[in-house]
Amino acid sequence: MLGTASVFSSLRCCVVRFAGSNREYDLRDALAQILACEASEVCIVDSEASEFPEGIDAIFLCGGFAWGDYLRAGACAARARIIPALRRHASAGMLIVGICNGFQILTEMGLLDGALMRNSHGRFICRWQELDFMLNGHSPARRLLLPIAHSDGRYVADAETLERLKREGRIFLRYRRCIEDQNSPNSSPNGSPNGSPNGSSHDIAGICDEHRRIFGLMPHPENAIEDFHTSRDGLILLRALLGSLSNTEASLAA
Amino acid sequence: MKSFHARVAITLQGGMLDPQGEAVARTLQEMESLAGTKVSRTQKVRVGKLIAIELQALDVARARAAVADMCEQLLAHPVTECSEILTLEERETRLAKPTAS
Repeated sequence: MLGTASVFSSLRCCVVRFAGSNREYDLRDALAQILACEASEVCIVDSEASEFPEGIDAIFLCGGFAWGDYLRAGACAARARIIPALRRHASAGMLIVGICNGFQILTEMGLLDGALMRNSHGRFICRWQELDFMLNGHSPARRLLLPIAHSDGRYVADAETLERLKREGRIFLRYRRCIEDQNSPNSSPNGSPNGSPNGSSHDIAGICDEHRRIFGLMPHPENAIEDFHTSRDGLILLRALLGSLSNTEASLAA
Repeated sequence: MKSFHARVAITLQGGMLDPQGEAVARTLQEMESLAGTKVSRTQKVRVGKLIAIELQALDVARARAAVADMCEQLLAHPVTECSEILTLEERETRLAKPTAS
């Protein structure tokens, strides 16, 4: 733990803000709390910039509705001015995390496989959701409670891609049967036989790239941080992602 | 350069679930049963996008290539959608006529 703490204290994170982003401050403050630094030390970079600040260790794409989700969620944002710089950092192996809209942007960029489509029931969902979290992609999973809030969270990919994601242990977050459904088993509005809240293939809520450096997830860990939140499991997830920077070998083996 | 006007249809690939299309189909079927229509019945609806583009290009071949490129690069998602150029027409470039003084 000591090693992790010391790495955290020296990490520099950067949150990208697009026109229409709306979780940039939540995410910045959550990261600042984990890194035990002033929120002002986690920088927010505007997507109209053409370069990131020097010396950053991780880039986060936050939730919201970048460019109004026009055309498709994330489609226009994935072609913004900052994107070539983001691609350069991605190919250099920097930790990149896309949350909700950020996940959609990463799939639109082609940095993560598949696509996120309209929820199978066609409605916006906003609720607390139980998830299975396995950073190395294999069991045993840790159960987390995190908020979800999206219209376009149904993960799709061709059969071959899904098989590869599974085989390579790149599905690091899956939906569990939701709390509301447990209270009223027959009132599930999603009509999805697998119990996921949006019809996602294999209950996928989050995947990573083959090098385990680019992560995309639909739930909002940045909104499960404070004592007054229903859950503080967001800290577990964000700490694990940041921790993967400190000891890649260990986290891969874990 | 000549002026062109293109119309592009973006549709979901065949097997893709279309919740919007299903909702519209259900609504149309509701309307039909309310109205007691006997002569026709909605079976299936798929919702897509129609995008109208004005562009300038050297000739029609280059205009078509440019629009096809737009579809590939941005307008249609390669995993989930298809695109079709419905029309591509040359538009007369209207030059401002000198007004008689």
